[in-house]
Amino acid sequence: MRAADALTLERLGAGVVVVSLAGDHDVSSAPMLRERLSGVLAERDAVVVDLAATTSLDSAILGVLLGALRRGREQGSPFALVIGDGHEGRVRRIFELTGLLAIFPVFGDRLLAVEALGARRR
Amino acid sequence: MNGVHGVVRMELAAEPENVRVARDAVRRFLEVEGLSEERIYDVLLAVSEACTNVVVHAYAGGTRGLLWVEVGRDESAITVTVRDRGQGIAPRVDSPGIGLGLPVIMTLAEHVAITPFGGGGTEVRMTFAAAVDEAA
Repeated sequence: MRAADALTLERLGAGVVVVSLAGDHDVSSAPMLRERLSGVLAERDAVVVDLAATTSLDSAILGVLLGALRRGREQGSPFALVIGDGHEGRVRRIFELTGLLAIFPVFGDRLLAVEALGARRR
Repeated sequence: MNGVHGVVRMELAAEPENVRVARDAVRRFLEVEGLSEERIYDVLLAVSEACTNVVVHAYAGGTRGLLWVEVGRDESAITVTVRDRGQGIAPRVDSPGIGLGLPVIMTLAEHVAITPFGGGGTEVRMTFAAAVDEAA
């Protein structure tokens, strides 16, 4: 994976973890994303997946996010996405095309997402 | 089909890392052809979905087959064709993924034709309108 297409994980306070996807993501990075999300959910943390720096993603990544959303719901761990308007709304577009925008909790920026999920955990 | 800049044809191993290779080559071709960023994005998403279907479904038991991708344009359209010589696209109960690839392709492309290719493989031919004001 090129350095620019990164997956980073940050543990914030209040049991919230932010997983950020930068660059292009597809079937080649889906297994690592699945593994990282699995690990975070196993620790019962609240998860924010930040897609603000994502330049493209496809249904392989959507599938991983959907699986994490379901698992979060089953075990009561808050899960949310950050989808910005950057990159001409490309990331938002695939969520709209697949009807998944209405299914995920979505925030326009990381701060709002972290605050909301941190609050839910208390 | 031969546009001003010819046709791009690729033969790739059907492996996850090559989905990006196909996308990047198609992107360069479409940039040279002067298409809008928005149109390029739609085509690339469809290419990603079609190639991923081959990587994930076409070849059984971890065997690595081949994936063929071709892109070209004429005055009014871009055509991308993705082919494999795998096991076809019959429904499978153990299929990985969430099955959104083909629906996404059909939303993005003006026309999609899925036909058998070779002895059991599949050809997915996708056509996208090229806007009148995009350089030809």
